Amino acid sequence: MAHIHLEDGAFSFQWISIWWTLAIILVCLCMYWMKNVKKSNDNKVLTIAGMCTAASFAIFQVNIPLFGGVHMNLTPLIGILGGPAVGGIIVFIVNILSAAIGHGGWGMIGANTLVNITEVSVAYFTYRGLIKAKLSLFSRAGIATLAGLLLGNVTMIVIILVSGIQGVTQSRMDILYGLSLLAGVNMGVAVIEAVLTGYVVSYIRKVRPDMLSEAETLV
Amino acid sequence: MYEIDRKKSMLLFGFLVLAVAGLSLIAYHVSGHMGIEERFNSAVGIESGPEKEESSGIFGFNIEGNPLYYAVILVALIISCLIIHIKK
Repeated sequence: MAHIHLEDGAFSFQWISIWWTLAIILVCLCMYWMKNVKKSNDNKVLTIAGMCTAASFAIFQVNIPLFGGVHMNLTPLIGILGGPAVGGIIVFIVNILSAAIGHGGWGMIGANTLVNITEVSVAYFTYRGLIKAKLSLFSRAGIATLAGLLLGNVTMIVIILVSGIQGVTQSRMDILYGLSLLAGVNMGVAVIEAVLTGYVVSYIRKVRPDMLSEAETLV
Repeated sequence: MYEIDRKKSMLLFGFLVLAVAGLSLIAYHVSGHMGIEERFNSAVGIESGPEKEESSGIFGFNIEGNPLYYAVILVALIISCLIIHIKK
């Protein structure tokens, strides 16, 4: 998964404000849209949202000893199960809770929410878009995860390059090179997350198919 | 309903997994072995401070953040839920 793992102070106040404002606008749009969904699917949507928030927060705090240390946060699974609107709210909450326990800076919540919303949305739309390709559920979920996390990494790189890092002497090209390698390593974890998401979605389809049809009617 | 092409599904997913895993290993070998914060700081050119002493965790799996904050947040969430529940 992609996550801007920088301390507060890395971005200037101007850019922190811009990313926060954009994130809040998107979350407000999600909440506005949720108001309509809530009327028809009240309990199911809330249950999925609660379960996904807890699972994502818990797994995000575990430092996995792969490639020296990486994180997962199940954003593509959130997108597939909950859809982009519910997912947008979930990732915002997970980022706030993570900052509250000291994992990531408060100033980075806006930028990280944008990165995670990209992952959630791309995974959801890829998952749905692949229905016509006649692929198995496992493959659809796995490919959607890879696509979501790839675009999440691209968003992370764009945000860092646009914002610039305070107090560093590296050129933007050097930063782009460094971040591309970082994104490459992140994608190694994406492979594991893709297989995991594929299995979870296939399992849910077996035991609770209504949970998946939920997402298919959401947008 | 449509018929699923399982062979095509597995071939496509398998190819993507192998391609991504291969590129990832190359990126790892070029950038070297380092922790997530160190990797990020190195990527953007921030000079890393003195190495923090990290516990080895369980089989190398560590928990991020301050354990005390987990307790504080948990208590705050329980109180908030209780208040909302009682008010409802």
